[in-house]
Amino acid sequence: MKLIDRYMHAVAQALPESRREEITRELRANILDKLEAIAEEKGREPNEEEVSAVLKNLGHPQKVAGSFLTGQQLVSTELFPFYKQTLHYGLILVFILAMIQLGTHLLNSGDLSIANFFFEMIHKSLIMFAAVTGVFYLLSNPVGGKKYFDPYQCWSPEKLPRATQSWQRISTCEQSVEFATDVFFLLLLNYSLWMSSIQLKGLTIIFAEPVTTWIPILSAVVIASIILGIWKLIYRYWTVTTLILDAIVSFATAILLLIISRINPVVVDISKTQEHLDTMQITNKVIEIGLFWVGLFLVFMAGLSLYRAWKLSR
Amino acid sequence: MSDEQFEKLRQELRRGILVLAVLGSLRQPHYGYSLRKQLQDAGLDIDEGTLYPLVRRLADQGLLTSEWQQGEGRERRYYQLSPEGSALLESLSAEWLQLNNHVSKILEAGNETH
Repeated sequence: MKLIDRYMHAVAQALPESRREEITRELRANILDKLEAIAEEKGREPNEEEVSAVLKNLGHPQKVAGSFLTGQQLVSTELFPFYKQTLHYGLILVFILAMIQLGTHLLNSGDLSIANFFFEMIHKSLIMFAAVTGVFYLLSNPVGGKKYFDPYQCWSPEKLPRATQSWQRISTCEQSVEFATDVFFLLLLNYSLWMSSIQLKGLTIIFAEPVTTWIPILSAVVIASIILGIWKLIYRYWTVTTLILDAIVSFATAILLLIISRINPVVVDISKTQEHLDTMQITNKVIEIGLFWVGLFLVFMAGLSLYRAWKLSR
Repeated sequence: MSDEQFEKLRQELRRGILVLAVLGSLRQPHYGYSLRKQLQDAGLDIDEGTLYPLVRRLADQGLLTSEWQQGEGRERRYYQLSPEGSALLESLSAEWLQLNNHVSKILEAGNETH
């Protein structure tokens, strides 16, 4: 098989069928013209080495094929920031779903199953990534070339954040994790409201009686935190009001967590076999220490928010 | 400035102008290789990997008409400006001359201050 045939075959492989014949036919004609020019110059037919040099100069078959298909992109540069943001929110959703699964599994079996949590995270993330990319591919390469919608159409300078300090920008990443954690805890605290009766009967671990009395008030505080979290995810900058509200929510959560950390045990094994008795002791100790330190951290965060609110109001 | 940076900016600068040069050359019919030769003779050396896809793209946009012709025992695809392409070339040429004029003034003013 001649070098040129091999080259054309490789180029054809990288082209869509609809354009294969047309592009390779023309490319072959152009290469033959070039070889003809060499023949004229040298006064003889070009040898294999010279043919190889011409093809090499033209470029890798895939690169050459790609150059005829410009304008093909998975996500357009214009839509890319929006694409990244959507992936970000997709990851939050995946995180929340995986956390719910982890919580349900923990309550049902008493196993924390971290490996399963990571597997679910990766599995769901891949599906989310493929789905979001698919949608953005269609948006970036609309059939007929007419845009379906322009995400950057509705805006005005007046609606831009009134942020003047660098710390006023709320990190989407941190906020997403905080939001996901809030939703997870709200669902975990109120498992009896959303679990099916069969699942409830199958539970082997539940909150201890003294803890359950604190659940309604803790849920109310978490709901307040979620509402504030939604605002922060949408506007992504701090104002004096949101800083004060954040300080109040953080402080209220801190107090409740510190109170609950003094209750022992926080969770109890209600299975007939009492199979988790040993692990329960360790789990309760971990929860107690965890709640205590999270509580202290939230007191610090409340203080920081108040300090920033004071700084911003000056 | 590194050579790489220069090369990147040079290519960016040439990209738009190449369209004008190709459209201008195709007032007369040309096939791929003869078009490249004509541009080369005029002092504009365009890489084949850039020129051939560019010509195809302009043809896809309806700015060029194309026709396969047999000659010297081989077939060649000849391209020529379409009426739409001619109108566009006229507008683009005027734009180019105006731009060139403005940029020259800016560059000259810059030279004078130095």
